[in-house]
Amino acid sequence: MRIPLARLIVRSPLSGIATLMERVVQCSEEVPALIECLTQGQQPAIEAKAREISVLEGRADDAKNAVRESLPHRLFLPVDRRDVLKLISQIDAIADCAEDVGVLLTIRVMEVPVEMRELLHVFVQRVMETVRTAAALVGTLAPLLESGFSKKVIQQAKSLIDELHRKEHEADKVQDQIAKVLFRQEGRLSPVAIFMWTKVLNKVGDMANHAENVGDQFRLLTAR
Amino acid sequence: MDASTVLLVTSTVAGLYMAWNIGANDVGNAMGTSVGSGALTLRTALIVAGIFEFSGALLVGGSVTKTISNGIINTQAFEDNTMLVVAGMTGCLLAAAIWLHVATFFGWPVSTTHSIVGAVVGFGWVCGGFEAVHWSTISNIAASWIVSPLLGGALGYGCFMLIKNRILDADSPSAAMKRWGPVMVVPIFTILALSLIYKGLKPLKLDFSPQVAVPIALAVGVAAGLISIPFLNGLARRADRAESAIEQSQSAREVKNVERVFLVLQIFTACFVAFAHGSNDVANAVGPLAAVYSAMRDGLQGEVEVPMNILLIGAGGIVIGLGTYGYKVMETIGREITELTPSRGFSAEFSAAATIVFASKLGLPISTTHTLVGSVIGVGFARSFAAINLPVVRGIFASWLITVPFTALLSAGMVLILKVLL
Repeated sequence: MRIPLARLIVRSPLSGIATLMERVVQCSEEVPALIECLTQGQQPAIEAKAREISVLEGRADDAKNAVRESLPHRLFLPVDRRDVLKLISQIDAIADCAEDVGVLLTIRVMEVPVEMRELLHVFVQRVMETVRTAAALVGTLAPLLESGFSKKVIQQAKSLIDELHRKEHEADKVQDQIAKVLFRQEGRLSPVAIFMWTKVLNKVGDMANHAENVGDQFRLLTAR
Repeated sequence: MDASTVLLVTSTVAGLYMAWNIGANDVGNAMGTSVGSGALTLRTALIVAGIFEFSGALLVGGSVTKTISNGIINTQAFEDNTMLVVAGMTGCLLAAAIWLHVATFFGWPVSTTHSIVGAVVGFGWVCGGFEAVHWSTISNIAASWIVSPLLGGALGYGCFMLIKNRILDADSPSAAMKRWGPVMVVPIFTILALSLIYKGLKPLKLDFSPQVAVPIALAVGVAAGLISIPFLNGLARRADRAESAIEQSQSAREVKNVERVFLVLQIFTACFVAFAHGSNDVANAVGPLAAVYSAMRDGLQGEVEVPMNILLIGAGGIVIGLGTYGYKVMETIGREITELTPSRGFSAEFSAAATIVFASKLGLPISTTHTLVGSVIGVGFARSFAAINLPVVRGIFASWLITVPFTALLSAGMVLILKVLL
């Protein structure tokens, strides 16, 4: 039986965003383990981890495509469709960066200078905290839609966005510190090693940057 | 058996068929939203719909019926050809009912009202000439088709925004509900009372002028609001106790409790919708039938009084349609639109019903389903649904364009065939 009124309201096509975020977090959570393998200098373990991350990134991609396919033009959404699409690509970009870190570490056997070890650990933790905050923010999407964008939930989302900015800033500060430590070693390390380290650090830092962009994109969803 | 008896029987059967279609299709639409939000179970919805459709049709259904039977075409233009009018109205009923059946089968969002109006216009134009159709009435009716979903939508938006800003988003939703609940009960009962006593109770020989009717209706509304205060407080208290305090913020819990109160308020709006629907839509089946009966009895005089027994046929047909098929429609809608929370369902139903009652009072036959869809979309504009399926809305626009010409042609064809047969 096809009844017009029954087809008027569509089940939320945005619920897939939560699945995407979940998978992106799963993928990103492997990065600390990857860096652990790096500090211990276990190249085979690094390669195994990188492959694992790559598989998880593929699953995140599937979730991303599923959300995109569920967002045809014929739906009238309470949010701008373009904002949703941008949000999705920023979430997905976190997993992309995680995968890139894995790939970079398999390209060249890297050694972690002793002076960098502690900071590297802290840096990855800060980045992960940023990613987790982004996930908490995306978690408010369901109550936001359910409540018809109630002011309280919007407030909750906004405070998470502020927190996200703070955390990303913290991660940035550590990244700057590591860079300084790295270039202090420039006499002892080969130029190629410095070049690769810069790339790796940037990719890890980009995870936090994209997590922050998730916050900015989310702010556009709540504002209208 | 002579031709007039055959026509009388045929038109009665066709009228019943039309009423069945209305009950089977429209009523499900009108009541499905209450089932979806959980305000009514399928069983109670059936009972509520049966009672209120019937009483709405019987008590207020007369004024729209007159528009359909007498306002669209000028029966005097047919000179003394009574049989032509009788055959024509029968053809109209058949054409509209067949079109509705086909549309239901394919799931097109067509309106019973548009179908019958189109059919009557088609018959009038083909058999009585261009002058036989009251084009000014037609343009009013057509305008009301666009205005009523818009009005329903605007009311729905305003109503839900008010509930959202004043109650759901308040610091303490429970306290806000206690304050605003009775205020919301007032307009429901005022409008309901107004529709009843202002020309509504004519069949009972109670006909008040607006000067008398408005104050009485307001008094009824305020009284209902006052009576509701202890009930609403009791409900809020019971809901407070029912909820355990695990893992939920105070305000989220309060919102849940408030929704429970809306669940109860929605039972009232559901009755209101069924009543409004009955009062507006019974005319679609009964209007042509009334024209047939009066033509047979008195010849073609101007004013057609709507006899009670004909309204009874229409009301009965609607209830039969509801019982034999409408419950399925209701069930489907109830299953599909669970996104409609009680506060949203309340907003949509209240604004649709208010719009329909208002139009019925003006004698304007409007589409109940389209008005309800308009109200739901209006609530949707308050950012309350994850997604609205635009093709359904587009389908409604398309059906505005297709239904009237199609049923007009169909009924014209029917009448020409009937003329040959007689």
